[in-house]
Amino acid sequence: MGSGFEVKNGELVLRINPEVYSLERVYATAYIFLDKYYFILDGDKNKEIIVKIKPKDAKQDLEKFAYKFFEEMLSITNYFNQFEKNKDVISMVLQRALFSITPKPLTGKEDKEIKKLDEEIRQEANL
Amino acid sequence: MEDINKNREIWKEMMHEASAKEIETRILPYAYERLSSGKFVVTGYFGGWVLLSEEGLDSLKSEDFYENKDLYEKLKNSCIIIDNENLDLATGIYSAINRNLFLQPSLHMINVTNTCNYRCRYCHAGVSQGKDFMSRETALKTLKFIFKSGGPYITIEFQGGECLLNWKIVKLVVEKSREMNKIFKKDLHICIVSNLSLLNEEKLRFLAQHDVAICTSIDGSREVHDANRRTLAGHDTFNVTNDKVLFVKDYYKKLNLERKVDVLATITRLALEHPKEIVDTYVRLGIRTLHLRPVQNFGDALSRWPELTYTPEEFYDFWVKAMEYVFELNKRGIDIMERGSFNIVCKVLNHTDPMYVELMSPTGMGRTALLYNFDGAVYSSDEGRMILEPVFKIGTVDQEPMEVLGSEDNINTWASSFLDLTCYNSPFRPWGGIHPVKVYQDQGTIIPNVNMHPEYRIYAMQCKYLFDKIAEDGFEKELFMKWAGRVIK
Ligand code: SF4
Repeated sequence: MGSGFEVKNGELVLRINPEVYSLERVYATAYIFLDKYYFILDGDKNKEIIVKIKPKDAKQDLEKFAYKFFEEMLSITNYFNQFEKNKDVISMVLQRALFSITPKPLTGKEDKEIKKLDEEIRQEANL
Repeated sequence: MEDINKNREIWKEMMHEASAKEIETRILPYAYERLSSGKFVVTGYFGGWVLLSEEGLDSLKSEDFYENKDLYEKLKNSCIIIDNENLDLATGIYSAINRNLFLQPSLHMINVTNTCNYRCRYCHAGVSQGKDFMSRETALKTLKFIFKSGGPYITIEFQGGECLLNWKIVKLVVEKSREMNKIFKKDLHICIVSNLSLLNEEKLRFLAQHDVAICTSIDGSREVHDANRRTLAGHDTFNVTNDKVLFVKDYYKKLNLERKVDVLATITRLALEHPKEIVDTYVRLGIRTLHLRPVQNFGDALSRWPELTYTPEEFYDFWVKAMEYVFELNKRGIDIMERGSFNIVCKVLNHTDPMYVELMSPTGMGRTALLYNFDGAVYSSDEGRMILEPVFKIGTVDQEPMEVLGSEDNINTWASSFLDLTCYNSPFRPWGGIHPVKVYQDQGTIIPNVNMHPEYRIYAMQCKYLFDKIAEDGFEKELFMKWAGRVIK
């Protein structure tokens, strides 16, 4: 089943081939447009994903939006494919950066200072 | 101690493994946007960037840049493409612009009272409902918490309500922290945020002697300021603030102290028509850093939100007018810097982290910054205490810092704020952040929809504007370079 769309009674219906775009990418794309459209997701994630779309502002050009939706989905898919492909290098750089933090325990003198403060807190609580 | 040494060994081993891997040249995820000049700003995953022509961008997209030596070098220097040779560069850029990730909490805000002698129209702290003061016991526990939370830098910032109404606690915390720091030897900064109306010579002497920085609010011209910020009895406040700022400056001058007064402007709808007058007010007072911050829908602002607010585009238009005037003044030799731009150009041009909590991803809330409330509650941010539900309360000063910082609620907030997940295709993502409390207040959830978040939309428009100026490669870029090299504490 190929992907496509139709506009009927002020509603846009997208049919998406899950072999081309996964359900995760459909979710991610819909999320980007939540401020302007209502989305109802339906269908079967293995056979055909159906997205019913209603604009929040009735003046929107739905046919134009159908192309925009597919364009955004392509862009998301490309970005995350690149991300997946490079996961090892990305995590290598992040690991190298994060290794520089080493927590420092209190020194003996600092510990003594905290105990002094504890004593003051106790006195204050007993007042 | 043993645990820490063991961890160090494990880290060393992992570090070695991370360095030892051979990696072939590859393209990392990148994002781009067309600038007004027709050039494109292209940003790599770790925050390096490059300006490319359309042709250059096409070569990157079609991966046929290997023969073009100049383009290849540009892509490598910005870490858009990566191999073993520039791995250190990528690590360095990422670590430098995200220095906050590698430090324990450094900004400790103490809310010493929730009451005030003013009734500003937008008071985010909601003082109209407040009547509480921090006790000595809670103040001492707060200090213990702060010094136990580790990290080489500590900034203690007194917040309110009006802090000077609880002067004895301000004094106690200042004296004690300076004394404790003789042992702890942290890089300790102390700052008081106040409307200054109750500041007299005795208090100022104490603050100066103990090296406490002073921060206040001036919303711009007299007309705007007096409309926004009024006393409890309904009087104007512009003259008082103006005179107190001059009083502090004179005092510093008399003592030959190299200090300045920090001043913030909260931009309400009324201010949108007066960008020039706002800048002029700051210049007249000799203030060299201007911070134009959008009004927030917290506290007392909620009840009159429609009359205070505006769209992100309206704020952006106002900000552009103010920026154009700031450029004009600088061209005339008047040194004035816009703080919001500073926060961005620091990262972009200088690869340094201005440690501005609102531009951290994941959020700096509950990580870089903590708020200690008058009652001993610990919140992950100043704004966290301003919403009615205790969603951002992460513990109390009676607990151990690690227990509070590592609490599930706190970690969930961080996790929700990774920008990578929501604005993957913005070239401005690596330098930006979102504020989960503001997201919660706007969208009713801590999971952001970045495209709908007004402050992120303002941020993206501002970035585009700054990059347009950078691409022009003229006076403005020079000025940004100068700003980016400054250190602001
Ligand atoms: S904004 Fe500041 S000065 Fe104004 S009422 Fe609130 S706490 Fe007081």
